[in-house]
Amino acid sequence: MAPRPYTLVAELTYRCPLRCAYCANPTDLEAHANELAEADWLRTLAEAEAIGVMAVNFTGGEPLLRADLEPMVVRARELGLYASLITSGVPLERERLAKLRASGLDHVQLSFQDADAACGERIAGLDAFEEKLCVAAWVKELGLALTVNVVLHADNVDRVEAIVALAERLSADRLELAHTQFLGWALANRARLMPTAAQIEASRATAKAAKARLAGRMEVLMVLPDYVAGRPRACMDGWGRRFIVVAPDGLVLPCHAAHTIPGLAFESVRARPLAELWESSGGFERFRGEAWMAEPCRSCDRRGIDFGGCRCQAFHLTGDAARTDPACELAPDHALVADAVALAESGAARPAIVLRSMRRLPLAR
Amino acid sequence: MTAAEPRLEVARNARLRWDKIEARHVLLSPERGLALNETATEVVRLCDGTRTAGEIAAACVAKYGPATEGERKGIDRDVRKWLAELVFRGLVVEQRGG
Repeated sequence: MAPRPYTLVAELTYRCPLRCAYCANPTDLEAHANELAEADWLRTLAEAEAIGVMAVNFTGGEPLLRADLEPMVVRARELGLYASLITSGVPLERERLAKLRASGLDHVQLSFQDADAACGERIAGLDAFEEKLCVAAWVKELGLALTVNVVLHADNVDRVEAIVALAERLSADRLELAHTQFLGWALANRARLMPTAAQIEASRATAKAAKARLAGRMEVLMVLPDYVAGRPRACMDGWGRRFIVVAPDGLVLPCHAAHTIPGLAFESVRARPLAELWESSGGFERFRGEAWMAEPCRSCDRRGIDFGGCRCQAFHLTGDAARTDPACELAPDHALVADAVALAESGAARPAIVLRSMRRLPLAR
Repeated sequence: MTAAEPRLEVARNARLRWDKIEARHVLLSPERGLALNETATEVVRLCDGTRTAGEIAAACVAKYGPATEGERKGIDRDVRKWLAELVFRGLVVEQRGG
């Protein structure tokens, strides 16, 4: 039997004014241009609440590009859902944010690319630093919870101290320092973005000190990169276990990238009720629980902790989504990850940044 | 002593919600949901900005009507500990100038 879900991740669009090279969205964005209508989303929110969902993350792409975001927030509040907006802050005006607050928005997670405007522009293809500072101030003025989220990679990982200072200056309630997960555009940019082990360790120490110093004032959270952790991350807290992701075109997924795995049957909220898709669609059933696991996962005493890691990563690195996540040092394919780490350590010249675009990447993997 | 204590209220970014699937209350906040039992829910409900920790503890003692002095002290201690935990997690805040 399917477990009950807790959180709906509503990916309202893949469109985004930023073009971050570490974006985890699929690399064939134009194939998903057929976005759900407002009415589909309003119904999906209600269907999600009916099967146990208590929180919704409006995300994307950039959810602010949907002019019908407000009625969705209203519906979320009517349903008693805890509503978060996961945003780049662009494009936003104070008046619209005030309307979203009045509509029932609880929390804003605002991305910053860097503590340095020019470096942020290099990774995102757009200088939005000043705009983001304004948005952060409005979030606090309006009494919303503010999470500052910064994705870490080789080009900004040495500035974690400055990033912490920025979040403090903005009076953030939470600071998420998330090392890049190498999926989607980030995987295409891996040789550029992978930090060295020393950089990762230094960032971890800085975050740990900040966490202790700011306890009770600002929550500091670091997501370490799975490539060097030795064990895989508990991707989405397990496949089809707590999260429902609905992609911009309506596909109901266990994670943001599951539809990039060929051969898995996922359907749209336009086709069948959400409850049916969650409970019994082929794609969810394929990797739910432990029956799909091969060794070394099958007998591993951590299989209930990391759930075998990330299926998408297994597929994109090995070509087979059922393989053990190569991030695990017990995985037969761990060399694929170890080689990428070794390359970062080698001091070899780094390739140029490939910015995200709506055009498919001419990827020779 | 009680007069010097701040009044407590649920943080603006936290919200109490009934979880109909598991028949319990959950205190929701960014990226988190804290499952509460009946007593913990009662304490959170009392954090409405009009009471101090001591007054909330006293309300619980009155409600559960313990028989002995030892039980009374036990409830008082448990409630204060739970409130301190909620404040540390940022789910309950001390009212400024309250």
